[in-house]
Amino acid sequence: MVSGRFLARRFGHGVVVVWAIVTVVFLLRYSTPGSVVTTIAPLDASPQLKAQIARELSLHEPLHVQYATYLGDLLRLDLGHSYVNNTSVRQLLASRLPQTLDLAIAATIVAIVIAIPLGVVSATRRHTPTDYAATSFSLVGISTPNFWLGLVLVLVFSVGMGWFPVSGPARANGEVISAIDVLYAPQLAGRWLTHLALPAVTLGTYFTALLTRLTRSGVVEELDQSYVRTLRSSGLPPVVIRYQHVLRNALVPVVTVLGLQLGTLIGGAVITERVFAWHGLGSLLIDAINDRDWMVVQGCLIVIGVGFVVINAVVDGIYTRLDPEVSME
Amino acid sequence: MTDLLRARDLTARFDTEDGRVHAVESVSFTVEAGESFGLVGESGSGKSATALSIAGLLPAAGTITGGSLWFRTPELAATPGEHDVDGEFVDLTTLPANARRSLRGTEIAMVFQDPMSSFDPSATVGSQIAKAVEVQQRASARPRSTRSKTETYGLGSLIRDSLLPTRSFVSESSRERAIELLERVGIPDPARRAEQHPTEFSGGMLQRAMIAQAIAGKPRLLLADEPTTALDVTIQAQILSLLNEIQDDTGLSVVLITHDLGVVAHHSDRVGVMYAGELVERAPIDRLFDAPVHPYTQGLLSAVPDLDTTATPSPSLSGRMTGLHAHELPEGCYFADRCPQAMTDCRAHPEERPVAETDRHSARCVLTDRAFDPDRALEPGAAHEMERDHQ
Ligand SMILES: Nc1ncnc2c1ncn2[C@@H]1O[C@H](COP(=O)(O)OP(=O)(O)OP(=O)(O)O)[C@@H](O)[C@H]1O
Ligand code: SF4
Ligand SMILES: [Mg+2]
Repeated sequence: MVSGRFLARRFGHGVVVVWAIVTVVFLLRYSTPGSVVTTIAPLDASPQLKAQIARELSLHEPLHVQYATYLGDLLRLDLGHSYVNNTSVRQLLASRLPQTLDLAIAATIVAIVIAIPLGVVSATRRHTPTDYAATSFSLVGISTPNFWLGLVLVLVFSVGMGWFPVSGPARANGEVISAIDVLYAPQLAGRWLTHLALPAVTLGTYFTALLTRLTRSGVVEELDQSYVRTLRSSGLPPVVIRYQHVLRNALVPVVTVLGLQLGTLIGGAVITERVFAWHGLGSLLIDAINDRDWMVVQGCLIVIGVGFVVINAVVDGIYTRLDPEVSME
Repeated sequence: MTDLLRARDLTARFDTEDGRVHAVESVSFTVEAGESFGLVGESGSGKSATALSIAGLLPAAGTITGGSLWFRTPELAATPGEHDVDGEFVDLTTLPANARRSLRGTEIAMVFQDPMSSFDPSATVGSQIAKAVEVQQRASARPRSTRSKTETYGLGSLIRDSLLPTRSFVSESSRERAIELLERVGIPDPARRAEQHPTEFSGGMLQRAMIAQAIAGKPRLLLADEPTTALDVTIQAQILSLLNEIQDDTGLSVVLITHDLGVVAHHSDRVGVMYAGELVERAPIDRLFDAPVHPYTQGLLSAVPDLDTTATPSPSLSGRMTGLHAHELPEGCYFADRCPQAMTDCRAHPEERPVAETDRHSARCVLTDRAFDPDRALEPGAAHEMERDHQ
């Protein structure tokens, strides 16, 4: 029943936002003093390299021509060349994106699997020890810094117990492996998971705590609605009422936050990636900034921005399923 | 006639920040099989609290603190809980939560006042009725006494139902039955309507749908809590006659809650009048209208304009009901501050007593066994004093 018009309008919004992001990123190259070429070229670039860069990006042309070249390249999914690493930016990003997605999705799954049942149980047993335990957990989880949590987990479970590797992504034959590789070679799943576990828990803890709290308060509010009494009056099992009706209605705000947070996970896992020497977009971006690798910085910003928009569009899609009125408005 | 429900000294309280609310105070009445029992009283007199106590649906702040609710259900003979001697009645107040729930929908159902907020806004109306049907089908597939604990519906089976496309909590036959029920309660184009959300319904149509979901489990007792208060006058009559019709068809008993004596006059066999948490008068409908004993009942009757009653007209009610917090309740009769016939005798709290020789008519008032004596009349000022105390 999701109306086509609603989806079309939503898609239109997305396109406009992507265009805005891309344009802002383009304008960033003028935000530093000095000529554009010196901004984009590596510090030690030779005059020949600078000339080549200027030619490739039409940097000596008027602004609108530069912009057109820039947009044209993007439309062809050409993100330019990393003059520091001497590879194409697209390739660099493509090698890092799966790692970032692994981590973000794993952290989200950890959060959803733990937070939603915990929030529901906590709300339905308000003011019992279970509820107090869950609320204390979310309080601690929200206020624990990621780097500290990561280090503690490593100390206890990797160094102490020896259950997990200390850091770094899983590798096979020297190559970093991600979820996609595991699909093709299921025997790697165990290794992949042991490497992913601690970073995912580290990244997911704050998120889990936040979602638990949101789910709890959403469910508490929904439980007071009259329709719950009607459902109870027809003898429905509490589990059906809680998960098929109350939770479903309580999820609307939860899904919003989920979407926003997932967006930040794409680019915001910098600290966790550092602690665990994870090869994701976050560490790529930091390295690129340190190396003054402009084209890579630009590529990261675009991918992170677009990722954010796409995730929010998906969340809106879920919204319309949860709340039929959204699509009717 | 056989009795279906015997409420005996039912007492329920709400715990609030400013103390306990005496919402239901030692209420006794009987609902016979197939009859319609009217429960009348002004706002806040404890009608809903009484119904919710019977259904086991009091909110978290509410508890039944005393009395018993004997419900005829031989099937429950094997469950824990208080039974009467011949095993035909079980005391609902002593049943564990699970057994209590298994009675809801299938034995005791409820229709609420505000249809708009009583349906889940994000689920289709049909699916909500289908779920009520499903509960009943599962219950009748397995007689209650033989059902084991492990068969109850848990989180595991819920997840399985949601993930496996071939499984669903609601079966196809329940869905079809839901459409039949919508048709039964007079909703045109029921198959299409079943797929719609509550916001797409009018209030009257939604109240019909709520009746459909209430009768989905083939209950023997229907608690209708002001089913028409939120509706237009013309639609009110339609809903009430729908309830009548269903009652004639199925033989279920109805407790019809209303603040309108006129409604009760046309739709109930017997009536109980509630005031400040107490049942102050209870009688067959004709008797109540012909010979009301309690001055509150008399006041209510005189407020109904087009009722052909032989009762002596008395001045209509002024003032307002006492608050129900423990510290607000007066020592004597709760109605004394508004009662035109209050006497010194009324300073002691009156007991419920039969009127004359019939036990089908009783009242909680000193006038059951003595006449009003102007010499002992309470100063009208006493009433106003009480009112000032509350402010
Ligand atoms: N959840 C609650 N918490 C505290 N007090 C409550 C609660 N629900 C009802 N009460 C109180 O209990 C008393 C009886 O309320 P009840 O709802 O049974 O009245 P009612 O006769 O149904 O009135 P109405 O005609 O307004 O529906 C009132 O004094 C009310 O304030
Ligand atoms: S007991 Fe007294 S005060 Fe109360 S209703 Fe009867 S006559 Fe009035
Ligand atoms: Mg009420």
